[in-house]
Amino acid sequence: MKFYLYFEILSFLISLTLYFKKRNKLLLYFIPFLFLTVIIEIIGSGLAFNSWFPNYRYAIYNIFTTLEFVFYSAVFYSQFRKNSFKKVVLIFIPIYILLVILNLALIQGFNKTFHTYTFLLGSFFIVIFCCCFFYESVLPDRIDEQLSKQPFFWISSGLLIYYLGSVIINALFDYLTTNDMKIEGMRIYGIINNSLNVILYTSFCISFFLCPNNKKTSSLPL
Amino acid sequence: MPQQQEDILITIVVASVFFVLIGSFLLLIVFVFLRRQRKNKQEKEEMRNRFEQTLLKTQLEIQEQAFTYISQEIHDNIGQILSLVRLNLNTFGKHVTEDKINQTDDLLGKAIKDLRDLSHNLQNNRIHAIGIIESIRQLLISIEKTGRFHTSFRTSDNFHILDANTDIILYRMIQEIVNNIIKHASANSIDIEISNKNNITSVRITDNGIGFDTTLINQSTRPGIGLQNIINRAKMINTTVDVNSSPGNGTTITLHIKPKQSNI
Repeated sequence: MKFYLYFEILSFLISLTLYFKKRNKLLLYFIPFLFLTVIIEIIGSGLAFNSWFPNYRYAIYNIFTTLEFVFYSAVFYSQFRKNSFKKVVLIFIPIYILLVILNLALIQGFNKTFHTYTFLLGSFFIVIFCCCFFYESVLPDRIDEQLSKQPFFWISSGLLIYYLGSVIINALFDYLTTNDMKIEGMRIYGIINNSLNVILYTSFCISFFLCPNNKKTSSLPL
Repeated sequence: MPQQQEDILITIVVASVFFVLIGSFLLLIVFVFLRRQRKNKQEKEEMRNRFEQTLLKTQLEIQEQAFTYISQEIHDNIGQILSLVRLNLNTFGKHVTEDKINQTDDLLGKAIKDLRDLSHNLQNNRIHAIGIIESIRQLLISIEKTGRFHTSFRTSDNFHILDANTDIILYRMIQEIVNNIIKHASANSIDIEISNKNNITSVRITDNGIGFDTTLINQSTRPGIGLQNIINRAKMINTTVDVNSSPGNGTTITLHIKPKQSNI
């Protein structure tokens, strides 16, 4: 079982617990997403039907990672204040889905391998969205807001570090999994991927704790 | 595993770590930039507060100066004239000469005129109303009325009006310099000249008094309170102060008012 899976489960449980306390929208978005992530990772890590349907492993990851990029883009859309950035996200989502379909159907195949080309494109855009968010954060009208106390700052930071750090291993995924260096290659892939996922899900957990409490409380008059 | 493949794997690890470091560096830059922006904003606010405090203090000082002037005028001038009128009236008998009546009438007319002038001095925002040029001219007139000083005032044709707040502070600085001349310079002539060149307004105040050694300003740990006030106020309105003096040769103080910065 992958080490970072514990962090994924932990962040899912934290989002679920805190949602009932805080009723925050950001937490609500992440609950189904993290639940799906945990399920996919359990399936993908071979605990369930890896041995029964080995050929579907890449297909599951290809679909899931595409959904992942769409989800992160939608969250960025909800957090951006500038309309121009929102427009970029709105244009990116359908074009990205189309490109993934084209890539899987015509170039890299649905379940032959991991869709590295479109994964890298998605990573590139997530990094761009993170930079856009940081740009918005340093604008004069938001100077007074403490950046480290904003939940989405931690999500953006985690995503930025994750996608920047995983660019190389994902770009060279096919190369690393070739037969002559498969063991060492997969080991390196595993170590880097594990470490980056730990950073990503830890930053998610921090952001969940920082989410403001939107739960309405009422008290009886004395 | 061959050496070449090992090298490739090491390169992949190093490159991945390098990319993570780039991300962390980007975050650090955002933090540092934000902190600096926040500090700048705080400094600007402090500067604005100081400016407003100085402005308020200056207005109070000008008002106080006006009250002192009015009290002196009432006591030394109008009071004396009215006493003279009373004395004249007491000497009126059954037959009063027309000369005497005219003389008394003239004295009363002068007292009324002086009272009218004084009432103008009491007017709020006087400098705003009549402008800095007229305020300086009246300041010099009131000094000249004492009979101890000869004054002159020159302004260039292309003098452009500063903003109202700068005017008040500038006027107070000129008033303070003139007060210093009256108190310490043993001068009998005060000249003020205002000129404008390359968007910089210069106000030159010259006296023919005893002067002083300007090196003492830099040597002493703290210049005189009067001069310190002038320098502090000058900073508020983006102005530099040049003091040119030597013992026995009078003093020239020049204020160079640069165009106002948008941050105040």
